[in-house]
Amino acid sequence: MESETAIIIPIQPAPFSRSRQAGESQDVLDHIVDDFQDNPESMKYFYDLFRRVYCHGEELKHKGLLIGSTCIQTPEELIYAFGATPMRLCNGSYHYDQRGADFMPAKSCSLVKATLGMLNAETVIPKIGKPDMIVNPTTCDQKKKSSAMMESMGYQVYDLEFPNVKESEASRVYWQRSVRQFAARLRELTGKKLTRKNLKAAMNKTGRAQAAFRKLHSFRLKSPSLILGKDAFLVTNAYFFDDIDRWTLAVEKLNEELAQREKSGFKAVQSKAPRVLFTGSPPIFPNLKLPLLIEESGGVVVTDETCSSNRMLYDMTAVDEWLLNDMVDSLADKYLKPCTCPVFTRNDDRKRRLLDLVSSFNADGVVYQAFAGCQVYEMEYRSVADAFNKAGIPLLYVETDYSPDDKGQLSTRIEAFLESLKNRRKQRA
Amino acid sequence: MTRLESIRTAVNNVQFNRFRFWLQLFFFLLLVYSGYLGVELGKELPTFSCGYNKEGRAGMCYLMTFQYQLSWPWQKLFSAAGLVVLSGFGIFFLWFIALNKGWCGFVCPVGTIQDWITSLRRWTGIRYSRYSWGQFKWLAQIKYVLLALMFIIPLGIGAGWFNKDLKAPFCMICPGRTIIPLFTGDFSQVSLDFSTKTNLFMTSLGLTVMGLFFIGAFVKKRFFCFYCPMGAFHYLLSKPALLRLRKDGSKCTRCGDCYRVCDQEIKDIADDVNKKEIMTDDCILCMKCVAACPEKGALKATFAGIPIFESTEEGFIKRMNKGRADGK
Amino acid sequence: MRDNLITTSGLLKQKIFAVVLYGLLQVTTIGLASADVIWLSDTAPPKRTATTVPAQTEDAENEHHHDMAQMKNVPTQSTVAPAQSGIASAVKHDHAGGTEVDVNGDVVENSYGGNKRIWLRYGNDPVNSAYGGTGRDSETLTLFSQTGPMQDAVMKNENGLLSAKYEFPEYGFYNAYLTQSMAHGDMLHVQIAKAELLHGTCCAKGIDYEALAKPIINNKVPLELMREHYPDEGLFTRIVSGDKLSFIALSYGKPVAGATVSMTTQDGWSNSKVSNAEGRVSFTLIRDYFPAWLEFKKYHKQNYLMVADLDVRGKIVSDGAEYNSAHYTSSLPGNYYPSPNDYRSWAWGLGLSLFVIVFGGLSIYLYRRRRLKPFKEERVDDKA
Repeated sequence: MESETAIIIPIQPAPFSRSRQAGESQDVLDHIVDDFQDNPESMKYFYDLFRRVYCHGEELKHKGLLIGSTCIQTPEELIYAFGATPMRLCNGSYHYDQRGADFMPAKSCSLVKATLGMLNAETVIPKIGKPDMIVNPTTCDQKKKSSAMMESMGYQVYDLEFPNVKESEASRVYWQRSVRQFAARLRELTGKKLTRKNLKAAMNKTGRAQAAFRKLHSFRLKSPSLILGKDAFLVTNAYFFDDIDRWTLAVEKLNEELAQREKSGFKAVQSKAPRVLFTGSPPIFPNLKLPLLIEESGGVVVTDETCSSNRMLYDMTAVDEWLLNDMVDSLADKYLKPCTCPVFTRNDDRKRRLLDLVSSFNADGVVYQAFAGCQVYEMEYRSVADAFNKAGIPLLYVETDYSPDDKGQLSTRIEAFLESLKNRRKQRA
Repeated sequence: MTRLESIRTAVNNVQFNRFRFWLQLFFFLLLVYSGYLGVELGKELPTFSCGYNKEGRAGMCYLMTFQYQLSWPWQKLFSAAGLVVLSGFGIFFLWFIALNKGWCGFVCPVGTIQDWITSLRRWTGIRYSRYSWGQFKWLAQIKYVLLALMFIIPLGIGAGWFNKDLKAPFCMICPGRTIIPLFTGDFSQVSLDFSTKTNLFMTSLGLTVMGLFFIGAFVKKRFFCFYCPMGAFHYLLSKPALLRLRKDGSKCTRCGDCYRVCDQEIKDIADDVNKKEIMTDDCILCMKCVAACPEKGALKATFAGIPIFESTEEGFIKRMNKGRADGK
Repeated sequence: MRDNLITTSGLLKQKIFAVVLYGLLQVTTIGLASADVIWLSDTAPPKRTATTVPAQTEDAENEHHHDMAQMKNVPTQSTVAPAQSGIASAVKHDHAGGTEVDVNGDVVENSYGGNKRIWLRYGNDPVNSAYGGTGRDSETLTLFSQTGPMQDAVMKNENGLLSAKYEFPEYGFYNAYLTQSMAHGDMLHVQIAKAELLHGTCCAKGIDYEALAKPIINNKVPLELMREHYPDEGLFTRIVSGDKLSFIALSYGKPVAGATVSMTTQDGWSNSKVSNAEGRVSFTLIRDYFPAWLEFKKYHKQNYLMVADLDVRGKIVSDGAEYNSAHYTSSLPGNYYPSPNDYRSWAWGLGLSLFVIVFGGLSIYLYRRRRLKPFKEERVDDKA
């Protein structure tokens, strides 16, 4: 057997759907779909969307230029008005998190690591194309420092100057000015002009989306719940990259189905299921670890205060006169003033919002997730805990990251927490 | 939904700007023209139904009556005849507490004129001006200064300290005096009276105010209301009023939508989450804030404790949609 | 001889003296009657003469206020009220509530109140005519309201001045007549002094202008002058310089042509015209008030005096006596004020307003254009 030429079988390029990254998404999606009963029919659209985009790596089309954004404070309406498509870049994949860990400090926030990892990777999932510009609002420290890193990766980055104080007149005027400058920059980039008509059309789009979300939000008030939190998170996570009109239609269909469910008295969970408010660092698909753990253990996430879900779509813009200067300034105000992001110096608004959500949704307890390395959320925990303590509302603080290693430990803690909520309820009743 | 609930919903979802436009027009026609039809509502109205519009007015602005009465000679004012002043004030007070400062926001013809000028500006596409917070703070005191002068000068006339030509000093500088008679074809107030120095000065001041009124109202929404002594007078008496503006701070997200639409740029309406009664001294109770609030129950107008107009999500979406659709 | 003269001519002288005296008396009375016009004035005599009621308290009663239903105890009503009751708003005029100056330059209030005081004066100079009496203690003052004759009033002689005080409770115009007859041989000379009194208000609403403008006709006087009211006069007469005044000369209620009517203004200017076929004669009131600017008073009350003369031939019977001719003289005084055109300028007013608007608008525009540099409001300079 001397002169047998070794046949080199080259490694076939595997389709994305077989990669480890896709596997991660696949697992989570399967868990979401298969391990729960009675998923709403209209959720099929979303399951399908995520399967195609995250598991099969399908390409997504977008209109006009693609403007990526790392934070919800980027005024999307302006981007739509200039004929471009906004996309939220925040990433929830552990795969990218590990990639990002290569060049990020060890103690960094998983979300930033994942986002940078994604931007640095060869295959960027969701496959929507390379952003023509990335808008990076100067919110938390790690996002701020990413600007330079993203530029070095070959992206065009625009620093959107976001104030860290929202009470003072100076900061509000500063932010209005930032938004106006952003509009000017977009005009430069796209070569189009901002007119009353196109801004109104853009606000129509987002307004419809916000109205649809609000309807969904109000359906979740119902006890026993009509829909599980995992689905709601999926819906809002889809907003990051899905075409807004399609998304809005899908949510409106979902709302119709929920209306049906309400009429027929459908229960998605047992009446005894503890109702949980989820707050803190945003759960982004596929990192729906904590919400899924809660719902596996018999609880239901009825509402949330996170920037990947509720905060992104809840606040609506009021305009007094439909002239450009008032519309742009109103948009700016809407993005700043009700914002409960912990990047601000004071967090009274966040505390009040949390308490209001607990009371209107009749939540039994709160789960506060903080990513390890997220200084702002971790530091705010103290004051939020005090507020909840005073109000007598149970709070579970979970510090975690994207890695699946702590699932076991977390599920124990969560189960214990939910048990205590159930008991509390029994005692009160 | 019960009948009451459906009425409530219809009211809360009303196309507020349109409703307010028609209501203002109705009151304008009533106060400026119905005198020709013989309508007579008395001389104690808590709104600028100008006395200089002699034929057309439905009733007279109380400030004119008040200033004339206060400038009676003191021996008369502080004698039994002074009871007339008190009874006039009593009737004014009764009119006032029915609508509180809603008289300003919905009834006052001068306010309506300013809103029409604002519509004109919107049609031209020219943007409006806002005060900075510092400017707001000190400019808001001017109305109290005018109110004080409105008391002091007539009393001074009665005491003999001031020239009789200073009678009705606020009427002389009020834009209502020069502008409302224009609507009935009376241009006599747009003239300078050279007969004495005081008259010349006062009429010049009055016409200057009229000029400032036009440009001010053009670039600033409800410009004059910020300086109006009637507004200051109202606020001082507003404790027992029936129509009130209430806020539920726990529902408020401090989104500032109310502040954005407020004609008077009152910041407290958005930022103060502790006060229950949110009507400040600048407020004209136009309720635009209630119409622009997306949180259910955060702001509401109550009459004698009964909520009559409440902020709702549905109402907000309907109204902003209409705005987006046809740009009103 | 002298004694004889004294004795005989003394008696003769006495006779002559008596005759002359009588004649003089006649002449004076006739002279009074024919030379000096009598007229009824609402202006009080100067304080030097001891008249009973000084100007001030009179003014307190006659004070004219703008909204003063309260003064007259008439409640404000919310229905359309006839002229006689109910006040609510002002009638078109240059708003007064102001002060006026009487003969001596004293400040008085407008005399639109119900309390009237009129004096008898002699002469056709509205300012300097003498106040006087007729030699008798009282005279009858005939009064007419718009609905017809009223009960007569009495003019009393106080310290040689004849005056009457009357209170008219209801709003409206009233005419007062004082008639004096004198015989000159077979010519009857009658003097009719007429005054048009107004209990008015500038603040009435819903008044019937037509009804108020209807003339009051007196069928019993041989000559009177009737001033034609303006259609929008209502209950507030305000005649100003430059106004065209029309009068109708009436004899026993019927218009009469050929009456000589003269108008004398405050400063003594007079103009004379003859009434036409309709009895009408018109005068444009001149301006004769030219004070220094600082002394100009816009409610300066001035008087004009109208005197009409009419000669009638033919048989006339009066008081049982027959005459072949008669000479009637009638007077009618009135008040006028400076015209608003003397002190009001629309051109200046408009000019000032436009200036403010343009200047203000320009400032705002330039400010907006210049204000493109941000964040300059915080400054640190040495004063800090």
